[in-house]
Parts: sequence; structure tokens; C-alpha cells
Amino acid sequence: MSEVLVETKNLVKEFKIRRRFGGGDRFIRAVDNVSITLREGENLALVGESGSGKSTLGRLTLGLLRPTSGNVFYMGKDIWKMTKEEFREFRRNAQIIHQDPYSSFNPVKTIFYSLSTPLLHHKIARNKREAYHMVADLLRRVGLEPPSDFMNRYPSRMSGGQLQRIAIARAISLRPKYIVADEAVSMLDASLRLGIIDLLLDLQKEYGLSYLFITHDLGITRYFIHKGGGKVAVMYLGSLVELGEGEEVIRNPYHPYTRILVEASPIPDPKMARSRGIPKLRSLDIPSLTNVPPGCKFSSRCPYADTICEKKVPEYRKVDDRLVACHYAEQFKTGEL
Amino acid sequence: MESLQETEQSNSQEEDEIILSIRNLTIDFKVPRGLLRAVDKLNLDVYKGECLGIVGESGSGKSVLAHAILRLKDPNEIIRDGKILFEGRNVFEFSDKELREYRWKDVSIVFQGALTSLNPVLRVISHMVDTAEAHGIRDKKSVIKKATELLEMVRLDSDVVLRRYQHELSGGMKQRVVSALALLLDPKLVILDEPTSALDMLTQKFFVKILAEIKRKKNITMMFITHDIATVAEIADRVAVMYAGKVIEVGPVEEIFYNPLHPYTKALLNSIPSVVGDVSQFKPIPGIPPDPVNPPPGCRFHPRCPFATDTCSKVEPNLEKIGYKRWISCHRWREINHV
Repeated sequence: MSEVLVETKNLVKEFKIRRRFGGGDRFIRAVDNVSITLREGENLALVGESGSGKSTLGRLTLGLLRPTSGNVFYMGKDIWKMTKEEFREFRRNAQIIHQDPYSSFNPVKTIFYSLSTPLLHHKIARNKREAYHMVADLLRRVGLEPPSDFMNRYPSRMSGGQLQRIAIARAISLRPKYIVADEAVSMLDASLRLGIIDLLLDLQKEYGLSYLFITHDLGITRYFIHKGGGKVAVMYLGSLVELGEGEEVIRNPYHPYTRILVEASPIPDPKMARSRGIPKLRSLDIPSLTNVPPGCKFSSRCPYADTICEKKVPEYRKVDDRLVACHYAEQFKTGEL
Repeated sequence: MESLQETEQSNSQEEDEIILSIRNLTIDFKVPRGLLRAVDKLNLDVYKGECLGIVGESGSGKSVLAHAILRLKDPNEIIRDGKILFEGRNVFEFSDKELREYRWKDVSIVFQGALTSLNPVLRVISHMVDTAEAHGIRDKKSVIKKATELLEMVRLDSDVVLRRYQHELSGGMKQRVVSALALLLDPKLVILDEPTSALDMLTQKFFVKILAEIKRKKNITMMFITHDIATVAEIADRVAVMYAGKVIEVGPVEEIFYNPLHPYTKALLNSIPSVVGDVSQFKPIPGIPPDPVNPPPGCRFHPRCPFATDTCSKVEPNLEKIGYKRWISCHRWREINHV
């Protein structure tokens, strides 16, 4: 088995919320005691609704946010205990692709500028001329040909799909080992999404990358994991509720939350879509992070919750090869519930 | 090849009443680079009582179309040609007074940004009362009664919600309040422009189910505009697929999903992985969407189409009527589908 590349241990991130009209400060827990492992060359798809903490977790693993408690390890080293030099090296190795490519490029700089700056900064290219050739190679690699057509363009003059390819080119330009793709295809047109995922997976094969693939779309998750392999982690209100290997997590979920997400996913089939009822939820809206229910966090919405769920925080149970944070995980597996 | 206009007369046995009819609609936008053709010689009929799903990717012109139906004009917008007939009357020829009555009483809209559609300093109840008053309904009591009814219909607790401000409502609740508001004057047609895009997965599903229920109960006509073809499967009776400002295929929902005829519709359906079905059959559509300032000649889809021939790159296909409420715009649809 390959080496562990990125690992989090009991990771917690709290944000302070200022009360507008007096009173003390309050804290919300965006990431609550999350431990994940990502091996070299492997994938982890992180799924959840908005506000589940998936982006915060992604940013924590990149060292863009400092955890409130717990650790992030990169190749066995706690990133917050690294020397300056080590940290710099880590940041070169860990890159991100954002959701909205238009807001992740400087609008008044050309594509060449945006792509050559990191190469020059990290001294991968010695001069502009060398950088030019490297940028051209990168553009070709992400399918933008001829590269000279794109070099001097501004981000506003490119389509979302093209710009997202450039964001990918920028992410791989420093030959990183780890990339967080944070809803990297969500803003794109449906017809382009799979093309971008295919590109990410091709690059993975070529460079041996590891992806933390963050998305809210279970169909997209399935495609990504089916083609690229890896684990699926489901988050709810900052906690990991289910973690397992491959597509099976989506095809056969053991946690009621995962199950409801799957049931609520749109299906492009009129008969099947119409035969499904309204998701059975006790409450439709996701609770605010300032008001997380005691016991199991999902208990306020879970159709199966009982008094135990409302009182006791569920521990992770190992069901088959899966980790499930539900008191009744076994019953879900056998189909009793 | 028959054109749309000709076939219309020969098929007058189609009894369903047309409520909205768009003919040859062409809309340009002035942009720094030149003229952007947002809607291009578009033809479309909406039948009374149906939910017509309009599917298209960004830039396909679906929102511009929705705005044009209500004659909401952007300063940079130029209507080049065509007409929009609502119950036989051309919307572009309405007087100001007629237009005021037409909007909201005949046709209402739920905007894409429904989450920011509400006035932050007004309670929900004021939105309801003000809307009715603007259309000459001064009987406050009956308005509130009606609003209560509608809010219950979208599964909101009217006692609570009517007194709330928008910031006291969640995204899903706001979306439902705005929808109730759109139904307040019993419009004949409701346009929903990307109503689910800003909502979370679970809320989305719930909202679509509620809309389907309302449609069944009130028998209103709906236009459901979205980029998400899967949502349409759940609610639409008929689907129109748009590409580069044109309608390229229209048909009953089951026809579109189980028997798509246009290469773009086929490819689009194959490019959306879902939680069911064989995941290995999903494929991206090669190429990029056309530049609306500089669209390709001939069929707009030909650069991405695996079946394109010389003709496709030169001659623009017409929207051809090929069956009951079914149209297609492709030179080669017969060969491709072995008809």
C-alpha cells in the first residue's frame, strides 16, 4: 500500500461569531473532530450539503486555515510544526482548484501572467522565456490548443470551461502531490463537467496526484469514484457521518443521511423520478451551526431517530469496511430500517 | 421539409389550447465585442395546463426568453424580430396599461434570484397586500385569506411566516414564499426561472415535489426553466431543449428522455451522471458551447456533433414538426434514428 500523504486527526475548526447587539461571542464548529486519511495517488470524495464543513476541511488540509484543535499531517509531519522551509515546500505540493474560475484569477492580468508567476516565484522557470515554454506545455496538457491563442487573453474573455482548465493548469504547474478540487465542476455546464473530471483523472495517472474531491453532487461523485477509484466521505454539520470505499457508499448507504441524500438526488428519468416521494425528513431545513441538536446531529431531521439518538452522540461503528456514525448502522445495512 | 407555420394549419386537429405562442423571436444584446444573439429565430408554443420544461446550458438564451415573455427589457437589448402572442394578443404591442395588467395577473415569474427577490424591510404579509393593491385589489382580508391558503399549499405555517421578514426565513422558505406570491393573483401562466438552482439538494427535491402538487391541484400553466435536465424529468409534461438561442427539440417528457432524437439531447442526457443507472455509459460532450457573438454557421451544434456533414456546417436546419407536440431541428434526425 502506498504512503499516507495527508492525514487529519481529530480536527476541529471553530469560527467566532460576533453578536451584533451585545452579549458574548459565540462559536460555531464548522469542522468537528474529523479524522481522514489520503494515500499517495488515491482519491477521497467529500460529499455534503452547503454548510456541512466540506470546504473548511479542504482548506484546513491545505494549511490555509489554522485548526482550533487537532492536527493535519503531510507525509507524516504536522504542518503547523513545520519549519518555514518545510511549510513552503508543503504549500508548493498542496494546491487547490476553486469552484468559480472567474473569481480565482486576477481579472486585469493575462493568462500568461497568472500561470508564469508561480513558476518564476518557485524558481521552476529561470526566466520569462523558459516560463513561456512551460506555460505553453501546460496549456496543451489541459487541452487548450494552440496555446498562443490563450496566453495573452484576459479571464473575462474566456468561457467558464476554458478558464477552469486554466485553473487546473495552474494547480498542476508546480508539480504538486495533493490537490483539493473544491466543487471544481459545479459551476460548469453539464456537458463540460465530465470532460473536466476526465482531465483531472488523466493528470492523476500522469503525475501520481492525490485528490480531495469536494462536491455536493452525488451523480458527479459516482462518476469520479467509478473512474478514478477511492473513498467517499459524507459530512453533516461538520462531522463525518459515513466513510467507505468506492461507489458502494452511494449505491448502498448505511447512514440515514447518506440514504436521504441519495433518494433526493435528481434522476433524469421521468417515471423513476415521479415514483419517488418527498424525502422523509422530520424537518426540511438544515439546522444552523449555532444551534446544533444534542446527541446525533442529524436527529432533528432523521426520520428514524428515537430518544437515544436525541441524547447520545453516536460513535463510529465499523460496518464491513465502512465507518458509520449512527446508532443503528447495522440495521440500515441489513435493511431492517 | 415542412416549416413550422405550414404544419400548424394542417394540424389544427390538435385540440389543446395554445396559451402562449412565440414566433421567430430574435433578440440581440449590445456587448463590448459586438452583438450577442441571445435568442435566434425561436419558435415555441405553450399549451394550456401543461408544465413546459425549458432546458439549456448557460448562454442558451433561456432566461432572456423568460424575460421577453414579460417584456422585461434590458437597456442593451434589441428585439430584432418576431412576436410573442399571449392568448392571441401580441405582447410587444401592449399599451402601458395593458402591460401592467398582463404582468402578474396573466403571467407571473419567479426569478432566478428568488432568494434576494423580497424587500428586506417588508414583512411577507406586506408583500402580499402590496402586490394585490398594485393590481387594484383593495380587499385586504380576502388577500390575506388567499395568501394564507397559498402558503399552506407550499407547506409553510402562514401564521408565522406572514409576520416574518426575509432575513428570518431560510433559503427554501424564501423560495416558497416567492412562489406563493407569484400565484397570488391566479395567473394563467407562471414562469419559473431556475427556481431550484440556489437551493440545497434536499430543499430542491422538496420544492419540486410541491410545485408538481400545486400544478396538479390548480391546473395552472407553468414554464420551468432550468439548466438541470434531471429536475425537469420530475415536473415537466413537455420539454423544450435550447441550444445557442434556438429550440432544437421539443416533445412530451417521456419522449425526450426515453427517445431523444436530436444528437445534442442525446449527448446531454449521456453527460449527466446520476445515482442510478450504469455509470460507465456517461460521457462528456466534446468541444465547447458556441460563442453567441460569433456562432458557427449552419447548425449551431455541428462542431460538436458526431453526425455532422457538410450540409450541417452550411445550412441551418428548420424546426420541423414530426409528431404530436413534437418538433426537431436536425438535418439528419431520420438517418441517425433509423426512421
